[in-house]
Amino acid sequence: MINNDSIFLPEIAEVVSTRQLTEMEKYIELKLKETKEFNFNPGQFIQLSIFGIGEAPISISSSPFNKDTIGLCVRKAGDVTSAIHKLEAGSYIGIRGPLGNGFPIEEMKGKDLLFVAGGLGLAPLRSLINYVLERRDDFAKITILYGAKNPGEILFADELELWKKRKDIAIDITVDKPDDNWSSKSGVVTRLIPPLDMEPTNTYALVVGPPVMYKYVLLELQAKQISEDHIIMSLERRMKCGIGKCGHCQINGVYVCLDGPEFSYHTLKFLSEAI
Amino acid sequence: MNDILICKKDIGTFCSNLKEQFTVYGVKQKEEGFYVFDEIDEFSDPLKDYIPTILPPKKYLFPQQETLLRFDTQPLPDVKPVIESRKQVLFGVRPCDIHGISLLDKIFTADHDDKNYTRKREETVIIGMDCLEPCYEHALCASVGCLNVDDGYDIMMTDIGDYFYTSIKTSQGEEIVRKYSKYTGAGEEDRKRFLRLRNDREGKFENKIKTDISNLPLIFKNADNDPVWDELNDRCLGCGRCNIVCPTCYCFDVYDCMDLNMTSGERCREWDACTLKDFAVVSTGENFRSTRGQRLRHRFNRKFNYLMTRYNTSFCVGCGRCTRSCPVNIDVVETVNAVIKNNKTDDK
Amino acid sequence: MTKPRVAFFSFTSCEGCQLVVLTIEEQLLELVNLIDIVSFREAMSEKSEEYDIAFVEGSITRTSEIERIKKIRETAKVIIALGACATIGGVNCLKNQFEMDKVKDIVYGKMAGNYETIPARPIEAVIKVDYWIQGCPIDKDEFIEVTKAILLGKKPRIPDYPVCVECQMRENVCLFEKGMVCMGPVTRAGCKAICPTYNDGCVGCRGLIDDPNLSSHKNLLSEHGLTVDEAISQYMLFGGNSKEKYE
Repeated sequence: MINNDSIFLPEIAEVVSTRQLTEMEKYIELKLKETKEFNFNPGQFIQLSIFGIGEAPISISSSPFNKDTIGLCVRKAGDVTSAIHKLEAGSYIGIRGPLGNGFPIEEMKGKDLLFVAGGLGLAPLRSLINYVLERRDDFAKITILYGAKNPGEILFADELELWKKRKDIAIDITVDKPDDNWSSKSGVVTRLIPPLDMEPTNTYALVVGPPVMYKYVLLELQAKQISEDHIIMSLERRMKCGIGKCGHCQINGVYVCLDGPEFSYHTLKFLSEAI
Repeated sequence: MNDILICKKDIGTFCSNLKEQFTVYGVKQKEEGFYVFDEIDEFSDPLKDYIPTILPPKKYLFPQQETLLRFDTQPLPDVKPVIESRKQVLFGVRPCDIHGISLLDKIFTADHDDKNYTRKREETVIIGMDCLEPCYEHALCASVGCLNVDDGYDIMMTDIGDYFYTSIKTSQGEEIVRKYSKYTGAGEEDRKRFLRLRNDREGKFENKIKTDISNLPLIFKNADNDPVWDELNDRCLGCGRCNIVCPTCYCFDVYDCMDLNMTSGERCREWDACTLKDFAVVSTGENFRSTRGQRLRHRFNRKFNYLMTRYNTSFCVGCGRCTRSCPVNIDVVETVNAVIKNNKTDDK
Repeated sequence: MTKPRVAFFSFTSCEGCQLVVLTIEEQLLELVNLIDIVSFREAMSEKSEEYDIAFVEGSITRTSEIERIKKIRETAKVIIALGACATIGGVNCLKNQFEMDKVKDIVYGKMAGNYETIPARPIEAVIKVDYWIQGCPIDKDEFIEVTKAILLGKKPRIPDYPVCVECQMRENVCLFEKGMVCMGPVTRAGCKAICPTYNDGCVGCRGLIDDPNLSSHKNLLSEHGLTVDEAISQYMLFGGNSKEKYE
């Protein structure tokens, strides 16, 4: 929700639990003090405030069917995210949102879905995957590809195990730098795409990862002849307001906060500074 | 209310009467040839011949720094919005700056109302001063369709000699004229004289942009790789002055400032500028516009393509402040014309 | 929470930046609620060798200073370079243009043999520095900003844009438009453009921004009548330590 009195006024939320996922990533669960039901679309984000430190945009990682709490997977990168890492259950923070639009779920219904997550990209995709698994019958074939730098950086490992056990989805995980205990695939996530058997006209690819990943994933998806408007990517930009005023997230004519943060490649290919 | 005449010798009284109810900002000469909007006490200021002020009057609606929230973190966070406003008159605003404010109105009310802006705007009366002659060599108002202004002001005054021919646009304008100024109704002769002067000005304002401005978004869209950006990359100092002085630049940074008790503090915003190096840097260090040329290209595109496409109107209002303030003489007209020349598509 | 122990140290400098710290008055009283000042030659006679945070003023111009600053680094968890001498070398680096023996002759004459000197350098040429408070002298608000940021564990909000931004926000008439010269377009802001506001050209005491367009600025200086040597000497007044950037 954007407050009517001031677009900058956050609502207070309590940190109800925290969980260290990796050395750099922490999962926190928040509960809003006033709003009872937090409704959002997978792919939307919030602006999280630590008062005195500042505000940072963070994508929502939890399932949209869980309306009681908001789950965020936060990588320690700047001042705000470092401060989030110091939070314990019982602390209070501020939230504005949900912001942005999220993934085009209605369009995706009835289609095969290919998830491609690189590193922290699994955070927003996890929300969408949870949605899709809950509404499994609304979608056709589901494939999840996930790449991490090394085994220690794999996020939501326990959940990945559960997904692996399901018969109604396919999942493949790879790491760039395997260690001695790693028995699965190694190499970049793009390598998992060519062997896939896909029906290009009926497939949506949902791609989230670091900027450098997009170029290579695109090449593979285009080789599979997935149409440009069925390739959906989520972008990260500097944001201050989250609602199209401050100008920071502008890429050519679009605002990542207002018009995204998910865009089809069909839109992005015309934006010179996008990927 | 019909058009009226306000005698020039009465303008000072009008102005000081306004102070009963408003803070009045008008134009002052800061140094020879340089003007600023400032609070005015007595009206002895250059109404007729002033060229655009160093900063546009947007500073009274969207100040350089502004507090947005005040918070206390103990025992639980308690946060309150801070929205400051007061009844104010902007006296003697030129058409270019009125257009600038109208564009800011669009921005700050689009999608979500930015109350820190709109509250100030609601309490602002704008008294315009029309232009009959080009004010200085850098003006390009007529070229971008911003010489004529039909909206966005309460009162518009035009110098017709001994009198200001005054048109009232809003009920608030009518109210303050009735309450605070001495005036007479404009007669048929006055009206003719006013229309003749308005008519005569048409030939005086040169069209400097070498295409119909409605062609600019497409021309700029195709000009991403134009050599002009490389040339500007070498010349631009990245000093941000063109952004700071622009009536339609509104980008801002937001930051927290803790009090020294380390428990309470403020969240503030401050003007930011897309020509500065860190404008598009994300927390992981990636800079999506890392060169001065890319950043200046972004700025020009905002005025003539991105925002122009989004809002269907030029976001350059033609005040020429960017050209005048650029230490290395990057000229908006020259730059736009160079882009047009290199990327001319078939005219629509 | 125990208050961090803070010490101030002087190296080759006028100690004017520490004097600025003493002028912050009421805020200083609030600050001492947050920190324990355990060593501050200009303000108190006691001193302690145990401290967490060290503010260091001055540049390194003698070999004995190298040893001393390394010792401070071993003790302090956080080191802040305080003022131009410490952050960029500052005016002390002017002497680096000459042979050191000649410098000693000029300054000490017959007594030159009793003294030792080395080319001046900022403290980061010798040790790792965590924070920089620029300026000659420092700006007191920036001192408070950096101190608060350290206590809060966040990055201080120090501009990496030129003085022009602050100068223009104050609605000053650009000195170049008045036929004067100014280092503002290449110098890091944070001083609120104090010199141009009082009609003095910026002399670059806060050091260069990270990505200055020096060649364009040099052209600008030459258009305003400066010879190449005169332009270089503008940069050298405070920036002698980064000479290679100008030439």
